[in-house]
Amino acid sequence: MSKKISAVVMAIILTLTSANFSYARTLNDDELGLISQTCGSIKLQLRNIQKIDAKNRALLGSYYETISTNLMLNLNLRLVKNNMASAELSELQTNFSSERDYFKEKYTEYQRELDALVLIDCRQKPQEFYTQLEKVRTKREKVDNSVKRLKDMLIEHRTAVLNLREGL
Amino acid sequence: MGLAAIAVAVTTSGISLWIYRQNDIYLDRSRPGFISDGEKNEDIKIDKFSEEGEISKEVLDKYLEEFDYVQGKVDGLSNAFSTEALDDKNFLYDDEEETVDDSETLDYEDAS
Repeated sequence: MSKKISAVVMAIILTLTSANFSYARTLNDDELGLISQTCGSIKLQLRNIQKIDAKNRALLGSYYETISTNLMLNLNLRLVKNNMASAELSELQTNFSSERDYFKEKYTEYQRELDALVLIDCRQKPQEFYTQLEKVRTKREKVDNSVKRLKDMLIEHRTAVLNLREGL
Repeated sequence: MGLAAIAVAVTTSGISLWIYRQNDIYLDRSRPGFISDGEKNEDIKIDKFSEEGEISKEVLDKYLEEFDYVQGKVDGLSNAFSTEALDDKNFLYDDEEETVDDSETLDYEDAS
């Protein structure tokens, strides 16, 4: 009996955690109709978003690279060579690099889901489209949060450098 | 023998392409080289901060000048991936009502 209960529980867990399970809300008929009717324009919007995202991703990537390699790293090396190594600045540099890697990872995941969204025929499958849209939103939010954390780290770094300067 | 070689070549090429599309393609699209000339911004023009030399207030002032320049560029894109672009209002609106202007829904375009 306990084996049967365990099997049922496992089946439920596997169903709930399967890739197809989604917490997306179910659209009403009007909303489904709207998506179907405006599918063409929606697809255009999404392709525009893809294009803009790619450009912004490249720009941010180059800025982060410049900051990390040309500025942070070299400042820390110079401090070490002057026997003024700063644990705080070193840690900030490490954290910035880690977060930058996380940003790349989350962006890749987001783009993959966005590509999948664009491939769905929203005219024929509006609910499936909306379900995937909610997944894309979640992924995009993670990218957005990472960008904001990176921005905060830059502020912290700047403050640390100012403090270093005041201590000279 | 020749046909077998062709089959092997096609198969391995197909596998390579499949692997590429799983991951690397998402990086390639965002590499600066794949952005059209019309979309490229000017290159970041800063002097590379040297790892050699003294540390002084003047040196750190110069460092902060370079840093602020790039930080300003980053700040300009701080909302680049805002979730607003994927809001319901952009996908669930009625054509018979007032049409949402594209410049309002994709206002983060200006950030670049």
